[in-house]
Amino acid sequence: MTRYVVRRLLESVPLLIVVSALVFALLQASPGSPLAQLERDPTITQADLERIALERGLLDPAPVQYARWVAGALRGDFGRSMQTGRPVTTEILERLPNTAVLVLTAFVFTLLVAIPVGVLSAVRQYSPFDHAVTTLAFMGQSIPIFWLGLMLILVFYFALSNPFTGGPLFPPGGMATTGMEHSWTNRAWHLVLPVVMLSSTWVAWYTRFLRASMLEVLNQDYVRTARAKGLAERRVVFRHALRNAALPLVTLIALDLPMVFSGALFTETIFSWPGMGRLFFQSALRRDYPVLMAIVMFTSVLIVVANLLADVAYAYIDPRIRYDW
Amino acid sequence: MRSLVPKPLAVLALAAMVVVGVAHAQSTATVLLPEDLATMNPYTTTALITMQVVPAIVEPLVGVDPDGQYYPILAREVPTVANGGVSEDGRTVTWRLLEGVVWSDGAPVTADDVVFTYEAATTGTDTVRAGAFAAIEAIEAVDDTTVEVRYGEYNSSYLDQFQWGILPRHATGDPADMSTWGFNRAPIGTGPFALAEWRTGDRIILEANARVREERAPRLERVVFMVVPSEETRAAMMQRGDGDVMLWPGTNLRDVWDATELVNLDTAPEIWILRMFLNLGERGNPVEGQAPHPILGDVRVRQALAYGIDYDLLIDVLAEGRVLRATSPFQLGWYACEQDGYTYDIERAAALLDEAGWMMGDDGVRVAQGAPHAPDGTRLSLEMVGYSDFRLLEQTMLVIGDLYRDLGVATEVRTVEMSVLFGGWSDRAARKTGDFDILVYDTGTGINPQLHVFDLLHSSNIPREENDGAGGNYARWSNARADELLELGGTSPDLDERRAAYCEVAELVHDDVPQIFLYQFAGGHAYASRLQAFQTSTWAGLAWNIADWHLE
Repeated sequence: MTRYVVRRLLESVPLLIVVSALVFALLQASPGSPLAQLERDPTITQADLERIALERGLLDPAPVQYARWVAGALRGDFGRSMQTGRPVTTEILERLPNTAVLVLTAFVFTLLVAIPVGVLSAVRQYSPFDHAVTTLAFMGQSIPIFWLGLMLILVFYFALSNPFTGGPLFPPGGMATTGMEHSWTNRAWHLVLPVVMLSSTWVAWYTRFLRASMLEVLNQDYVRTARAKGLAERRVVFRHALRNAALPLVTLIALDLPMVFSGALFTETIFSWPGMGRLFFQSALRRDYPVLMAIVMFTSVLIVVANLLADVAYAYIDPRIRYDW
Repeated sequence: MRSLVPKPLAVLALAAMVVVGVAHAQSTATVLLPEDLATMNPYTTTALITMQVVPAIVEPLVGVDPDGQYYPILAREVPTVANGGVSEDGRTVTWRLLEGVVWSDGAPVTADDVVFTYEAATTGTDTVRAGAFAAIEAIEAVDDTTVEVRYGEYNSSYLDQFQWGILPRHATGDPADMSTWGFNRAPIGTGPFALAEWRTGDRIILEANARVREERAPRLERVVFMVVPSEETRAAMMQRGDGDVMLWPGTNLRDVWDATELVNLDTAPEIWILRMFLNLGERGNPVEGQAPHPILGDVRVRQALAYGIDYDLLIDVLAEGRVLRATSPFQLGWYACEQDGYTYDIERAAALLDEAGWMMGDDGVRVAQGAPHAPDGTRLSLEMVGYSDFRLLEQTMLVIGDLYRDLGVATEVRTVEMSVLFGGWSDRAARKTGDFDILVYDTGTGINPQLHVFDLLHSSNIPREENDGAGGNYARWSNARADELLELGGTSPDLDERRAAYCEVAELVHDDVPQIFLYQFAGGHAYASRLQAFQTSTWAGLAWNIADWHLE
């Protein structure tokens, strides 16, 4: 197994090099300039602009700029943000925990809801509960989440009040009330609406997925055998059916996990959450190449690792799968 | 069917999470910003958002009040020829600083800090202000509170140079490292507030500067600038009383403010004038002495285009009266010119086009028939480009396109991203290389218009191969008399003389139409009724009088 993992990791190196070159080329080829904001300012002189472009190496040919980036990246130096002048790693590390808290919570919430609901829905196929779940899941998948986010604010922040304090039922955004950053309850309170918004699509998607997967498994012979043996229904469903039905779910989870670090732009924007999604979006608008490159490469590495994890996890969960190592 | 799940999982513990929110401390005001600042160093950014916050912390020598008058802040008085602060020839300016002022860390403010500010602005890495200080020949701290600035020739922006704030030498660093100073994230200043905490992308917390001099002491204890990127969320927070100031609310929110007693809107004219830049030169041929544009190279066509716009329709109907008529680059302050501008006159426009050799074709689009710069048969078709994500701008272009259709002028309206439109010479941006027919965007100038209008209208500032694309004369207008007047505006120490020169330029621009002025924005901020003394200024960010803010 170790050899397999090592081989896969080595294989991913050329892939990442190609990705970096491609992304760099695309950024260079895309119209626009990191200095556009300065260009717009009538008080800045052309001499200032040229000096800044020179200082930042923007006038060098693209291959030279790329080589410089690679040389830095290999040493762990991803350069400085053109907007803030701070190291790119600082920018990212500042945002990463915020995004991780939000997305991981949403992810755990999704699994906590989707697994039992999906299973129950499959076991009671065509029951009123199943119909309700299917309808809700369909809605969850179809509703644009930015609209849902605005509705959540409208209802739970704007319209409804906390009967005890008279203040809003939930805050309109941010990670904590000023001065209460260390209060666990205050932070949890701030998490509720963004987590609901972010997980709405996931819950719907995972529920439907698990329901379909369970239905397929429940009709298998071994499930019938298990029932014939007189096993308790709960044991049949959870031990015999769910374990098999959950197998494809592992892939799904592994592929969604990089989201935990790449952020959730819409949710972060509507709920003023200072996460990676917004950092990436702002950097893209301002053509902050060092930040963009670092985030794209970081996400690429995560996707490679997540894929590998999925494959390894498969081997553990499903004894039939063995890799040739 | 037997029960599978012990109980339906309590859907959520949501209900249990009724957590008590904190009521506003009575002396805290909350300002809602659409985005975070990139830096608090006003010498490494031109972003307007920076100047909404930084003036609460870092103070300049002089400021400009809402009426367009200079007033002293760290200086004892505004230097003029009359009070001896400016020498007769205008080449030496003496600044006298207030005595006894200290930085928020306790160190005294000295004339040397002013000298240091000049050094940082001119030699610091990533400085965006070197050009603004280029005219200074020498600067010297005469004593602890006196600074003497000498210019090679009279410099019209001698007051504006120190408008971005004075930097402390002891609490910054080597100018060679300016882009990475700790100061950029944690500035030390002399203003009414000091930075308590800055959480990136989230909020900036300012607390009253305990060492501020009495006349600038703030009435609030704390101001929190919260970054709330969604406009809908910002508006809801204002209505709910969780925000005291909302920076630059969209005009689409006016109905929201009208519907509540809790929020007011305070607007002032803005310096931004929406205008059309007509390309007088051949497209995409940025060389000295280029050929004229086949269509726009003829002044009669340009005048026809100016007469072909229904300005009242744009201002009163499209913009619902929330913008002001603009007729020249000189709209505000001491230099404002009375210029009547063009009025909608479609007959006159049609006559001018006929006269210029553009005859109505069968399909409703005019074609050249004896036009001076275009071969016969050329269609009168123009491309109009603006920037995206600005609905009023886009709608304005579409309405103008419609009006032009009545005139027999075909237009293709397009928007491109801001960073594309405002790209530089090395990006081969169309604006720089002249590869456009008509550009539509807003630009404007501060209280001293000289640099701006010189850049936009002087013939030396036509971007071209020979000057590596320097300059902002994108219409590529060349007028010897205007050049002369613009030079006078930069050398005369007499404001009346300067104003007369500018107004003559306005006249020339009106007649020759390198630009068509559409309207001037009026903008401002929404603020809570409980917040007192809030005032939007044309000339400064919202924090200009933050010391006076208080809550009712």
